[in-house]
Amino acid sequence: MDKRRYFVRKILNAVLTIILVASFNFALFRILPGDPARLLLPKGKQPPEAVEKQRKTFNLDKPMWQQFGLYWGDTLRGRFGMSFSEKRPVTEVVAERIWPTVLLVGVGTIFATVVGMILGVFAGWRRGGAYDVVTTNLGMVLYAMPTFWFGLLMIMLFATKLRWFPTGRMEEPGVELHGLAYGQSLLRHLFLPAFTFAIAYVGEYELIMRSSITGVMKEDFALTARAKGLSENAVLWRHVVPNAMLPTVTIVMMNLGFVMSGAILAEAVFNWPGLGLLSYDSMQKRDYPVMQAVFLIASIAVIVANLIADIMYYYLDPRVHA
Amino acid sequence: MSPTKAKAKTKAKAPVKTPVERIAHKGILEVRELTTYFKLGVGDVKAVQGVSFDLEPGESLGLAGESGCGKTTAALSILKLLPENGRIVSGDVLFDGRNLAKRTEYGMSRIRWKEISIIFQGAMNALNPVKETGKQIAEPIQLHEGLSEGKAMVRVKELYDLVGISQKRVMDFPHQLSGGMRQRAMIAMALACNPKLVIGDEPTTALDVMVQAQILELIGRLRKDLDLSFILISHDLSVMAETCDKGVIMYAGEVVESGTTADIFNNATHPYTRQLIKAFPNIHEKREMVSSIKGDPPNLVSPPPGCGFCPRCDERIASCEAEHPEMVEVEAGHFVRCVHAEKGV
Amino acid sequence: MIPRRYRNWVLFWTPFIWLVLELLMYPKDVPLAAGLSAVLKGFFSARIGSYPPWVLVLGALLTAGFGILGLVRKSKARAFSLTLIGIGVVFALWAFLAGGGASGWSAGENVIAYNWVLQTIVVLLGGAAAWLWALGNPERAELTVWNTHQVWKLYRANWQGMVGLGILVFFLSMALLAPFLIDHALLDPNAQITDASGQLLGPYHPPTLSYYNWFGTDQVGQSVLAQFIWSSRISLTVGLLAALMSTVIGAGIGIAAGFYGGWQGEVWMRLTDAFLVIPWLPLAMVLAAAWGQNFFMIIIIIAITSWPGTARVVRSDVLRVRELQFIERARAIGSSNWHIMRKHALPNVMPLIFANLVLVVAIAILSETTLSFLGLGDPLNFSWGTMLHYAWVNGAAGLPAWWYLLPPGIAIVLVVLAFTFIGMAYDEVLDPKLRKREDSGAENRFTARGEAPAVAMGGAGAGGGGGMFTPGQQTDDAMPDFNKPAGGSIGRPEGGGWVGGHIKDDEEGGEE
Repeated sequence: MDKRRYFVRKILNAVLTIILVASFNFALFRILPGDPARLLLPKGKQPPEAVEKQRKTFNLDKPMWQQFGLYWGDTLRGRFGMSFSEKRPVTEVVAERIWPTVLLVGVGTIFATVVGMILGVFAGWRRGGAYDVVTTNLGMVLYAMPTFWFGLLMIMLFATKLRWFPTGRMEEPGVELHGLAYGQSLLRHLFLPAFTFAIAYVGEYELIMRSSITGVMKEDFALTARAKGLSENAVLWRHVVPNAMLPTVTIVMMNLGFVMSGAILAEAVFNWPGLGLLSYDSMQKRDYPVMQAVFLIASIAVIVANLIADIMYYYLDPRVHA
Repeated sequence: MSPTKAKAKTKAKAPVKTPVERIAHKGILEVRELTTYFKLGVGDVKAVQGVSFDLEPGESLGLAGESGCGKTTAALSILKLLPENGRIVSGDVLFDGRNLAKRTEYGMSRIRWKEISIIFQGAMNALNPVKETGKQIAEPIQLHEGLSEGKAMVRVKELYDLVGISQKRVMDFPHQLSGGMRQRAMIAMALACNPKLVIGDEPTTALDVMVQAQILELIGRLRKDLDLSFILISHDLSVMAETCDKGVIMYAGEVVESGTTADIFNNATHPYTRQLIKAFPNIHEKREMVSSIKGDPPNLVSPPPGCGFCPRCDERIASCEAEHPEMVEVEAGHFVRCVHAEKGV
Repeated sequence: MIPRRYRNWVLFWTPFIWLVLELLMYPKDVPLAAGLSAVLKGFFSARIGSYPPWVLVLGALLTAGFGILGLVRKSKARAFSLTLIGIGVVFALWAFLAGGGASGWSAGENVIAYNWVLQTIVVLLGGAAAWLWALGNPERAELTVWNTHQVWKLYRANWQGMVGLGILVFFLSMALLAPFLIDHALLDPNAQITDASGQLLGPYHPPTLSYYNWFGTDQVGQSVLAQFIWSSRISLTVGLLAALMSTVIGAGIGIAAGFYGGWQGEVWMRLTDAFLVIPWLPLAMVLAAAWGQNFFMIIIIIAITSWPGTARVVRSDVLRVRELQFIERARAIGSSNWHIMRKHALPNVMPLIFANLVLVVAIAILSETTLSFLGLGDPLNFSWGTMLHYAWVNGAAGLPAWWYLLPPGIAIVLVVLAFTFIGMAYDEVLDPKLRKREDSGAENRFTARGEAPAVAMGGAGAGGGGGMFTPGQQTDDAMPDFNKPAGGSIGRPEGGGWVGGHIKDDEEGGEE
């Protein structure tokens, strides 16, 4: 398949999926039991005038097909209505929460990928050995562990008992720091949430890399490489690892889309002011416009991450060109 | 790329000779009573049991038998490329005066490809799918001769000419080449370091008949031009008949018949060899149903005490089940492991 | 005659299932101190077998339906079909009575005193049906026995599988025997526990040797051990039911997508892809917040967010099966699609679906814990996730009250690990490629380092946390007796490749 056709198909696919998901988002708040206008208001007292006003703002008084059109118009222009709890446009509320999440997720993912892959390479290479048995079973335990529980244990150990790190937040409340001191404080605050976020993925990437390595090592070309007189290390790093990277990189990219789930938990436990904490808070306040926006952003992140994975795969694996 | 030069070079730095390695040799390769086992949970799989054969410089030898008979293991034992659970239990592999069976892993890595190379089955997987074919061929040249990649690539291009692939394709990935071209690239790779001995492990199996013929023709020509010693592993007796001077037939980890190709084809003595030959259609004769050999080879974890072939043999006699036959020389250079031969057929 | 081993099964499992059903609904309000006779009376209380009527109606329809189908198709075991219809009639009667009888049939549950009698009759008839089936189909019974035995023999050799099974049996027993282990009354908001001298222990009391205080107390001075034991019921039930539901949806759509090629298959696949990209936690939070907080909702939420992974795996396996020769042959002799699907495709895909189900249970339990932790669980029932929620919001980590945090977390890790181990071990049993080295080991140069063969990457790419997978393991420990051919008809030559196969799989689907 030639390059252009491959890319066009992947991009069309992604656009189609985004349309589907956005339509689902539209339907979600209308098929739910109960009056959507009431749902979109804070719980408690809901005066009829406010409900009517809400109905107007979200065009709930119009026929379904018209609502659908207007929803698309609003969505494409980035209008998600007003947040109840903050009394500000949703776009504004969401925008200021994006960077903390990107920081947390970025650091966590890089850590998880590097550590997980290296552990996996050696486990797969010395398969069946003591190192392998230990790391593999450890990987499975890490994978089976609920992220938030691990986070609580981290707080208990490193924040409460040893007092090495703060229990949460991005900065000390009421303290203004600048320059290097600010960076240092940020890192101290970042460490535990990022580590917690990363730990589940470390297990996953370790296991994937390990099985990928063992799979590739059984390929004939690994034997060819050995027959050529290459040392064990050269066989591993020059022939086995480049091939074994392919599936792992794809999965890392695809997982990147699902970071929202991990971010919600890590941010909620550590009070990290990102999108995850925002969606947790708005869930508790039943702030639907915000939840709707976060949900849409999270879905699009997944689709875009998938698209990037496909494109990366194209460049990493020459066989896709064929 | 003259073979004499390569030979002189290795002679110059021939390793220190221990008494074991000093065994007098007549050919370039002499395999003596080679025995290789694989360790499995249920016990040892006795994959190769007491296999012996030898090879003169410039000669070619065919190793044939059904799959699972140990022929590939025997070949991999020569280079000590066995999987982790495999080991050479006993026996010697004398190559050019050195006993490979006793050599260390490091010592082996000096010999691999430099002096003995292998042509693997040309299917996709013998070449690394994410590396350019030419670079893969250059790799052993860089490694064993210390050349830069640029200089090695010049050599690769020469090799491409030699095996008949256009030089333009050196930067192609394996999947961009056809099956026949991949096999040619594999041959070019095998020749990269001017080895003295080339082992072909089913080099034509995955190819269609026309390409098979071309590849065999190419191997034959290169063998003559470069004066290579060659071991061909194949389950296809006709391929062996066409290419080899000598033949070794293996069954259940043992050599059952060996001799010149003419001996084996014109005067097959072991019932298994005869059935193998019958199992191939002959286009010159009247059409017949191709016969297959009924039954399965024995379990190699606990091989039967008698002749391994006897349950499937049409000519078995009472003693076959209990007594293990020895190799007997039925005519000069033609050995057979069968009770009938022992009795002097 | 029916095989001896099969007879033993029936004789063992019939009373066992009866006992499990008894324990499932054993009254929670019988205090242990009430004495033996009161405890025994509990087994015959009105609460036993008081299922909601719709469950009974469903049971009646399914059993009677199968029975009638068997009669219509003139299957060999006539008596078996008749017994099934009999079970259906009992179920129908039961549903009628539980629904309030003729006076007012209702969907709500109406506790009747002789529920347990009806339940016992159904179980006994079930045992009889199994017996009669074997009488009618002796060869198939023989084959089933042999296959099961083979599977078990291979499974037993896998230490991880056995460890997983051990952990699971432990927690299942704990859940079933909860009424006999600790009083449910201790979960009452006012039931603070006391020490030997009758003194209240107070909030966050560290563990002592006193039984109720083994795991210390929580923020209001309740027994953490009581919460822990009763939580296992909810966590396991929700996990199992959600996984079952998710697998039914996923397998159905996967089979449809795989079996109907062309545009129909494409539509199913698009749907699956769309659901696959929906981030499960934000969606679940939206749904749980809107639909209210109870376990039925949680089960549905987990099911609808985790089925796409199953669908993908099943689809790729169906695609493989569809290309098998015997299916083409069946098509060639004019078998209907429905017949092919039921008789040929489904039996081949079934083992994969089962292995996948086990792995989805692990995901479902994790998902339930996560939702409960975020406070979306049922506030009236404890699950391990709910315990962690209370521990979190009441600052147990800041104290640190480790006795409140550790037990539920460790239990979750163990149970999830157990299901993962079991799924992997079962997967390995099914897939000869995973465990079987080539017979002689000789021509096996593909195993460059002589290592056990590849790893099944078949698994559920569940919505949450990326993907579920079946990591490989030390196949050496599970080396089967390779002198025998691998277990009969249970083999599954190729796992549904999810990892790495993802893109290629996509290609395939797209070009159709």
